[in-house]
Formats: sequence, C-alpha cells, structure tokens
Amino acid sequence: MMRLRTVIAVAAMAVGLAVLSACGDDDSDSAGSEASSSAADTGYEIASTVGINVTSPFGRVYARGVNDAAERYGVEITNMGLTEDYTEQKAVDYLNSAIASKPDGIITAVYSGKAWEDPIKRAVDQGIPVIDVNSADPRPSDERAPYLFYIGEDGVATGRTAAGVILDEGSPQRAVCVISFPGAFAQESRCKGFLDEMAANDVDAEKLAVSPSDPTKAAETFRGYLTNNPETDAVYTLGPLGGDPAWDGVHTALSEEGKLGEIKWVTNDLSTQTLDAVKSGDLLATLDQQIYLQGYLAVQSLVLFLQNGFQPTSDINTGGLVVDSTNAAEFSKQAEDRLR
Amino acid sequence: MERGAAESAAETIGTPPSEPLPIRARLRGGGGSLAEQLAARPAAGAAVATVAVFALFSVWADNFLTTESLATTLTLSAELGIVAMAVTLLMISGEFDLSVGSVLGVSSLLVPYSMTEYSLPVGLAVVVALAAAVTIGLLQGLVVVYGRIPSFIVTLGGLLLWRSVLQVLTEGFSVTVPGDPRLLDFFSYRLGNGFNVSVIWFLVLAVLLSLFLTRTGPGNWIFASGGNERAARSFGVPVDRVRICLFMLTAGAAGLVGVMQAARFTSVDTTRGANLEFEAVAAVVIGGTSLYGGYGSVIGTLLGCLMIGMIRNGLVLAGVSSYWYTGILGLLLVGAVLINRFIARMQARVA
Repeated sequence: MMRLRTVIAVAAMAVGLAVLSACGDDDSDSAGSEASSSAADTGYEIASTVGINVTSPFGRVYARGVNDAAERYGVEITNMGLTEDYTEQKAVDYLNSAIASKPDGIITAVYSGKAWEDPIKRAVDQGIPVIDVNSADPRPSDERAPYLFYIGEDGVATGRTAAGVILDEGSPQRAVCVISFPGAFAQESRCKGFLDEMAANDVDAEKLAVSPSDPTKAAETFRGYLTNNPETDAVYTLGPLGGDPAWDGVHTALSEEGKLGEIKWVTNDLSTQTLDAVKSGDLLATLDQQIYLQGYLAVQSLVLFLQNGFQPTSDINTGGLVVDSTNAAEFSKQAEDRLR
Repeated sequence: MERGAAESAAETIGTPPSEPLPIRARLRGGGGSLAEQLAARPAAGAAVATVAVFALFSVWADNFLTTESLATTLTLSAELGIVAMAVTLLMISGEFDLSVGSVLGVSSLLVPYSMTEYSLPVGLAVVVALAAAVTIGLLQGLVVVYGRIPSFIVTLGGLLLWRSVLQVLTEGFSVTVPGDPRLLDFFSYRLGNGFNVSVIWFLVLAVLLSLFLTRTGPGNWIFASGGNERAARSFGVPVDRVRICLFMLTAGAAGLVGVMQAARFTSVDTTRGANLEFEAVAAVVIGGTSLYGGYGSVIGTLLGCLMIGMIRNGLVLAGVSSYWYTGILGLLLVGAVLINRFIARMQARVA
C-alpha cells in the first residue's frame, strides 16, 4: 500500500504537482537568528526558476533548501524549477513566465549570460529583485546580467582546490580531469581550475571525456587512458559516487585495476557512497558545493533584501567545501537524509 | 555518383561485379573469386573497414596492440554487440526497436530494486529483471503486429514510457545492490588482463545467433518476413509470430546487458542505457544490414561493434580528444552505407 502511494505521489510529481510536498519538513533551527523577529509569515511570493531538474537527486536537495527557508520565513514559493532535463530554451521560457506572474523576488540560475540578460533586465526594471544561484554569469562583473549577486560555487576556484588537495599529498606524475559533459560551463570551469593549478606546479595534466550515461564505456575509456598513461597517479572527477554512470565507471575501473587508495583521487559533491569512499581512503576528498545552502540562502537573502534592502557586496561562494577523512563522518547523516 | 566513375572505381578496386543472386545464395557467397564472394556478402564492407580501422590504430596508437587494449576493445564491443545482434535479426525481419536503451535501464534497475524493496534473493531479482524485459518486448511486438502501428512509433513510445517508469520507481535517486552477491559474477566477472565475462556472452551469442539466422528454417523466415512480406505469407511463413519473437529477443538482450551493468557497477540511476538505441542501429547499419529489411548478417554487426569499440578505445590511446568520437562514428556510419550501396549497385548493373 505504502508503495502504491509512493508511486502515485511520484507520478504526480512528474507532472509538476507534488514538488512542494516532496520536499522535507525538517526544522531549520540553525538558520541564524538575525531575522528571527520578523520570521513568521512575511507573505512574500518568490519564484524559483532555476534550470535544475528538481526531480533529480541534486535538484531535490536544492528544492529542499528553498522550501525549508520558505517555511522559516513564511514565503510562498510560486514555482520551483524544471521537472525535466535542462535545456536553455525551457529554462528561459520558465523565467519569462515567472516574471509575468509578478512575484516579489526571483531566484534563477544563469547558464549562459546572453540568453538570461534580457529577462533579468526586464524583471529588474519592474522592480523585481533577482538572485542568481548555482551558475554565475560567466562574463566580467561589470558586463553581467543585473542580478543582485550570485550564490554558489566558483567552478575555477573549486578545480584549484581539488588540485591543491592532491598537491598537498606530494606532486603527482600525471593528473587527469574526467569530464562527462564536455562544453558544460560548470564542468569545464572546474577542469580549467584543476588543469591551471597543476600546470602552475609543473604537473602533466589533461582532460578526459567519458560517457555520461553508460558506465561500461566510462570505465573502459578510463581504463584505456590508464593503459596508455600508466604513470597517472592523480584523478579529479566531477560528481558523486553511487549512481552517476561516469563517476561509477571511473570508480569501477580504478577498483578493478587495483588502484583504489593508491591513486590520488578527488571528486565533487556528496552521497553516502562518496563519503564511504572518503572514509576508507579511496578518495582523498570530495568538494561539496552545498546546493541546499544555495537554495536556503537565496530565499533568505531575498527576504532580507525585500524587508530592509540588505545585500552583500560580493558573490557568496558556497564551496567546494573540502570534505576529507577529518570531517566526512560528520556529514554521513546529512547525506543519508539527502540534505547534501 | 556518375555511372562511368562508378564503373572505373569498380575496376580500380578489382571487384568483378557478381550477378544478383537470391538472398540465401548471396549469403552463402556466389562462388567465383574471393573478391567476388566478399562483395556478395553483407559483411564485406564492414570486414574491409574493420581491418582498415585496426591497421590505422595499430600504427597510430602506441598501446593499441597490448592485451589490455584488446580487452578494453572487446568489453566496449560486448554489451553493445549483444543488443545490436538481436536488433540485427529484428531489422532483417523488417522492424525497428528504439526502446532498447530504456528497457536496459528498467531491467538494470529491477535487480537492486527488487532486492531492496521486496527483499528478493539475487537469483530471483535477475529473473524478474529479465522477465520484465522480455514482457516489454512481447507487449511492443503485439502492439506493432496487431495494432498495425509502425514499430518506429511503438518503440519510440516505449523509449519514453519505460524511461519514465524508471524515474517514477526511483524518484530520481539511484539504487544500489545490497551486499556483494557472488551470483552476479556470472554476468560481470573479471577474467584477468582486463577481460570481462561479458565478452564470452558476446562471442557465444554471436555464434548461436549467426548459425540460427543462416542455417535454420526459422532463420530463413526472418529473411523472408523482411524481404517480401506478401510472398512470405503466401508460402506460409508465420510473419507475425516471427516478428513478435524477435521483439522479445531484442528486449531480452537489452535486459541481459542491463543485468550485466547492475552486476558490475552495483548502483543504477535513471540515465542507464540512454542513447543505446542510436549506437545499436549505427552498429547494425555499419555492419551492412539493410534499413529496409530482408538483408543483413550477425557477423557484420559483430564487426560493426568491434569497429565502434576500436575507435572509442583507439582515440583514447592515440591521445585524441574524445570530442572527436561521435563525429568519427557519424562519418563511419554514412561511409558504410555509401560503400554498401556501391556494392549493391555493382551487383545490379551486371544483371
């Protein structure tokens, strides 16, 4: 019976109805006290129009952050995000219809500056403040779309951090950044940071593209790379273990080649399996961009701005937070609860 | 292509045009010189191209001729090959299956899902996964045959529907096989030197399917169904039953690969199998099988898959950016069709 109900609930979500109910109701008692006096029912309507598929594991953690903050501040979230895979067209359409509904504030994710510039300008002209999460306008700060500020990861900085974690263990002979969506800004910028930092330390490093959807191809491509470059002793992958075909493929190849624990390996994002690999020493570290925090802070920041015009004067960098053997245990419960 | 150019090209490569033979005779080769026999076989173009690709990477890529590299190529070819060979039979019978990737995903998921949600033992979970795949094939086959809807449409619907079922069941999250059941080694065991047990499945199935297609009565029915359907029916070939069985075979093959992936990688997410349908059709067509049915071979598809595996692996070994991979596959696909058409025209011209 329970299962049937779950299936029905999820089916409903697939048509975008149950997004709100699907998200957690944990108390967010650590949310900070600065807004506590005005916490209850601010009554603002905020549209979250990010091009993140909120039915994906990653997107659901984001939606949960948004909903937890909305509950804390009595904000109504008028829509949430895509319920299908991202395309630029869909994401921008979605932003446009959000503007037409005249909310008090908008959260969006800018994946390419140009396409988002006009809609964001239009929103700002109408007096609707916009906050950008997850992906910043890649252009210089004086040319970018006129959102208030950006909350999220700086991909290049994260890639540099990944390289730093490896270099701290001693200089590798050869390092490789494994990418599964070549051309995707978030992945490319992480690789760029990683490769730049390795090059600055005179380490041979390059980028390897593997299949995003077929773990066998990913594993064999990676194994082929190791065959050809047996001196490779550092790897940077861009996502969590336990489901994503690309990273599971690399994981399996490393395990089958007996290189786990021997090769210096850093990845991105959290999952139970990723944390287990950090604890067992297979992974040096994982870098968490804290997507829950992005959703939560975006709602909270809009409330603070709408109430009293508060705004930070620079972007808020939510990570790569380094999760290694020293702190992995602390995050296990949160990964299980899908807060990270 | 200009007629004259085609003829002079034919002379240059020294391939005397053979007479147009009935399908079965063509498959056995029509006698005559080796070149003539090769030109009369569906896999001829693929065989030449396979040797060319192999030679290219042997020279170009440093470690291409190592055991590990061979293992990688075969493992890459094996899973695609198991699906593509079944698709070959289906396409020879005149039908398509675009749903193989989604079916692979569903059956792959059902292994860990039925173990975690319904506490089934691993053996039963594998049976459930394979049975689900074969049932999907049966359903799609029935709709195609009795609903008289083109298989392109029915299986395109299947591609979308089964992918959605996968997402509904998992709520978007991935599912992991609990424990470390040894039974799954049957589908994913590492044989040493990088060889995977999937390669054995691949080669054994290749031999079985090829013999079935070329040496048995039902195999002949497959050609007849896709060649001239009306004639086949008037000779008493059970065209509908043949096609339904082939839909089940194809879905079952996708299911088998799904189980293999669940066994090797233990976690299954909702993207599993995506885009497999394109690569499978590409492998079949590169192998010389006709898009219009009635003509083709399992060996050709096997070669097509080996080529795809070699290119994928060879580009990595040659240090070429893998951004080139799909582009080269696209060129190979169109090139293969051109070569096959060229051979067919040569045969027709002499008639």
